[in-house]
Amino acid sequence: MPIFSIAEGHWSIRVVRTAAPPSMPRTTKRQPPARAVPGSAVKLGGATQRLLPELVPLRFFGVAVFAHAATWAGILLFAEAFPGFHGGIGPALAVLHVAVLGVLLASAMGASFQMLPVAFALPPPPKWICDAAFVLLVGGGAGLVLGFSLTEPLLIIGGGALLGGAVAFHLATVARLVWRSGDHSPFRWHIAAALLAIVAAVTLAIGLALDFRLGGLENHQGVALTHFILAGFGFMGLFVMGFSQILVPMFAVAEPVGENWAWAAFGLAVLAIAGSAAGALADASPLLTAGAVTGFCAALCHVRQMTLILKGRMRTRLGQEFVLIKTAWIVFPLSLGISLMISLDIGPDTLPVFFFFIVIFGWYLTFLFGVLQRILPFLASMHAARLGAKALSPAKLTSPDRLTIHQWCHFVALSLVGAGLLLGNVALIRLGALAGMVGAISFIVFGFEVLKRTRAHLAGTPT
Amino acid sequence: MVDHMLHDEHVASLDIINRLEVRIGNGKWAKRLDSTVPADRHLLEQLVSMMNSEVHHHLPFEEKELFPKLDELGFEDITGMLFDEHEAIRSLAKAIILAANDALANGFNEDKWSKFFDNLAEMIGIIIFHIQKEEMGVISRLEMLLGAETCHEMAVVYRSLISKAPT
Repeated sequence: MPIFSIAEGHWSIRVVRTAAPPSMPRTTKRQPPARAVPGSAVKLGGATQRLLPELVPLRFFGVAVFAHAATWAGILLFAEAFPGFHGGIGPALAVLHVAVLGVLLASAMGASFQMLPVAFALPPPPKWICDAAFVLLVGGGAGLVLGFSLTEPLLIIGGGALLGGAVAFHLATVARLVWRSGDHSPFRWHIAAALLAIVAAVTLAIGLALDFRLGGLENHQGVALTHFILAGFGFMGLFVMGFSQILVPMFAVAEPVGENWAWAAFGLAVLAIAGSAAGALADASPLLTAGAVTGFCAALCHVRQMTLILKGRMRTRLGQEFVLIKTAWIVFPLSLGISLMISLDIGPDTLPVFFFFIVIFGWYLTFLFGVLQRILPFLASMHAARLGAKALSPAKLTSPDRLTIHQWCHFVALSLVGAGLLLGNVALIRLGALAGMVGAISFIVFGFEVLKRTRAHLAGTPT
Repeated sequence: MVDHMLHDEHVASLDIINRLEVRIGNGKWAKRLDSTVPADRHLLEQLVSMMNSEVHHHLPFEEKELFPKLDELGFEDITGMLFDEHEAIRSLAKAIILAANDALANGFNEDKWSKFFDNLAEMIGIIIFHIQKEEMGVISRLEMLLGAETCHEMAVVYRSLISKAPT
């Protein structure tokens, strides 16, 4: 006799459960694997661990969280360098690279090394590769940022070379995982295309760095813009769009539906990136305009797929992280609308710097910190389980108040700095950066509390 | 196919969790369930049924039939983690079933409600986390991992296990 049945809501399912037999024995000891699996489609022998030692992802995410605070501090200190910024060496470029390398690239590396093996059910990369990538990223990033701040070409070249090494380690690892995954979902292709974009972006970056010392590059500004398009939209954009395919369904407990929208977003994004990069390199406005329009359509397709995933979610209540994630989904197409205005020469002279800001801080950082606030307790809980602690809900590691402070400060910072950049008002930029820094510090405290609670849980677990 | 069966059970569990969360709310604004109200009573009965089903069908089936097969494929770390969560779910389920049955007979007082709510909140956190991992790491790729034939055979075993249960 059915105890209950469900045939409601968007899942349109009917599940019939029966009462439990009281006599059924409870399994209290794990049974060792006893027999082979006949007809198994995949063999993954030897893949005994998919989680890296906790220190590996922790270091990358730790750098991201601290670089986030450093970025806002940099804007606060060098606020006057930002209005009217059109590229070129100096504090503004240095601060933008703290955000891009310290926050975005560090997070992308941490996420790739830890999440891809879990997503593809493959063994993680050797620890030494992650260590090497980390050291080169931090060393190279610091060198490059210092080089930009001090206008020192040798530091820029040295830092760039180290960063090239970090990207090479990351690239080889991710390419190997993607290749071995056998996965044919849009996720795989987004990551593969992102890798191609980062190769091109790094190649151009090396050229730009050498040009600071040797000169001879006729279209330095065009190459710099192409570098931004390939690194910003090609690598980070496709990376974020790709990871959204697995992270958003996981966070919302939903199926990754709307694959056609994902393919459309992918195709359009690749076209947009290629077109815009060619346009920037050749200084051809029509190509940049076409790229912006195509990119805008790609963003809409991506957001459409994400909303379909949320619509079909199994859990009604969404976590706090979706406030930031949904905001990022609004900013993503908006930023491409602004790029269209720039390519058509509409709007104030301050629009280009506002565009850089809205892409890096409004789209990527907003999305990233939505993801990080969910991923950090999630990974901490998994690591605690691996170390033998009893099962722990990630919610117990989270302090919602810290996250609320961060969220509101982030929104205030985006609004004030954005307005300050558009109006050329340094005071507004400073005020916004201050709010951003308070939010970033609150996020650091949140990260430490996750660690503290995890350690307390581990300490309280009998061995 | 066994992957669809397990997935549907996850969906059913989440449906009850959703309705509990909507009804109760969270934190200091949590509203106590009243077993004299038919809708609340029905929700408690469904919760007890879900917990029983978890403890007596879903979890033992995964541990005895599914996890050994996954271990053969090198998933020991994942199944080990899932197994530990099963243990936590069992322990909480026992307390929740007892409290819910007691509430169905005698209602909740302040003290009983507080303990029930704490256990339920912890259970929901662990179950959501557990389902996220199982769906992402195992269920969504089970046919690829084990092959269609094995999935079909396991579905037969699971149906048989459920049908043998007294109603």
